[in-house]
Amino acid sequence: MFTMGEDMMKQWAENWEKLMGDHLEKLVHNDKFISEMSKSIAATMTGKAFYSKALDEQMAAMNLPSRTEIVKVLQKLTDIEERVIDLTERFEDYVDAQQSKPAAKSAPVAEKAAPEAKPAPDAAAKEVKARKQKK
Amino acid sequence: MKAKQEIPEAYREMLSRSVTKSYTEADRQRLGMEPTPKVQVFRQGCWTLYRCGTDFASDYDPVLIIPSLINRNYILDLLPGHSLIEQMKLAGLDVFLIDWGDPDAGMGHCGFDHYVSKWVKRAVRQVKKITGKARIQLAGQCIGGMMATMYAAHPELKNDLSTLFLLTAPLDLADSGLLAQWTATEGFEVDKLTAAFQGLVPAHFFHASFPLLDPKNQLAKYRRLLENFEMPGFKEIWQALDIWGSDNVDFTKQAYTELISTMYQENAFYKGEYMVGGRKVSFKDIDMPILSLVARDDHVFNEKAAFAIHDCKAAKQGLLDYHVIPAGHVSLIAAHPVRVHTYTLVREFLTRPEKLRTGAKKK
Repeated sequence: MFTMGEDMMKQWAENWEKLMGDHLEKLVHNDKFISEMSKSIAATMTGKAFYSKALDEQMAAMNLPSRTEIVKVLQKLTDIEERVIDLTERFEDYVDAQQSKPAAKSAPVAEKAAPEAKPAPDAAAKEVKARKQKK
Repeated sequence: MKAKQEIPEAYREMLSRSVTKSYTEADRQRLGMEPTPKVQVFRQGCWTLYRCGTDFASDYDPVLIIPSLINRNYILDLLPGHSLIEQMKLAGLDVFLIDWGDPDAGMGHCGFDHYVSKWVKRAVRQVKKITGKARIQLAGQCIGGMMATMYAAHPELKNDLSTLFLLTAPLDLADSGLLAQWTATEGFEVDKLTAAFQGLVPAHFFHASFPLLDPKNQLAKYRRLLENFEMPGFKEIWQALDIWGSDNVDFTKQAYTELISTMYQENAFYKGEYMVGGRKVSFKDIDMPILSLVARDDHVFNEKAAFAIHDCKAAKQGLLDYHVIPAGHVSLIAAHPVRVHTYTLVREFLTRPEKLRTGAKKK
């Protein structure tokens, strides 16, 4: 239970919370306010970007790697890691495919004898004829 | 005369820790956060794939959970009795969880396409390989749900999936709430806002605006703690949520830019114009069983953003189960008593998806 003074404080706190809440709600829904805030942050960030660029140039003048260059190296490392894992997966897929087809290895003759491996005799003859005509 | 009531010393201590965000690992251990044991099964760069629990035997297709990029994944396994993953394990599911970790500046060029077509694809491959199952059940929370939807919508990648479970996943970001209004405002130019960042957009940059999404709730936060201080279990869940809420993660610059300009300002994913793995993907092509759970009092996205799932083929075939839970963006799984209802829906869908198909609910 609260004392009389504490009850008043509690009431005051509740009123403050309600007033602040309503005010903030209106503010965060106000397009004009959001637009001005965005523009202000964007201007600050543009300034920060300009400063970072100037710092990069100073680092380059001292023959030291800048943060921009380090980030580029890190990105290349990420790409290389990605590529290595891609290749590992492809290799694993290849091994799995080989292991699941043990019969294919022991039947190379059958593969050679496959009719679709050879061009049709008519087509081959036509190709030779066309080459001769070109000459 | 009324007896004077003292404000508990423990309350002052909690208030101070919350305001200064001075939480430590000891706090997490004292509260028993992340109760489900996890085994690392794959790691690449900053992200890790975990297998949850100790008993992996399961009669069902394994579940892979894609968490959001904005906060840590332990909101899905917050405290004993407040854990979606714990419930999935109790249902006999083999659960895998992605931890996006802390991206470094070298990953700054990785956007949503990269996350989905490379990393989620790789995680799915690992889950299939480890479990020996041809198909898995893909689950996604918040932005993770959007990524899961991209995967399920891809004409080739979708063949890896048997079901899709979306938890507060936004699809149609036009008029989806305050964030959509802010990004549509004149002067909100993401290139200028992020011009000074190299590789990463720091968590403190975009999290500074998060309390403004629900200012009344923020103002009432400490009053509610005081009013419910003696309620059994309230302090613990309040502090666990506060620890999670203050444990923010940097965004890769590309993902942040895409989220604001491509997803919010252009609404490209909803329009079917976003490219994943070199192909345009449209969620309208999804034709597998879907469970979509939406929070009625979500302050991040409104219900309209998630309701768009009704436009997909699965909904037209009666394969969509859609529920609006009377709770907030995370309280529907972590805090509110209604979480028990959420757990039931999730367990039933992931263990018997064919029995839960109640068909698309029309608004």
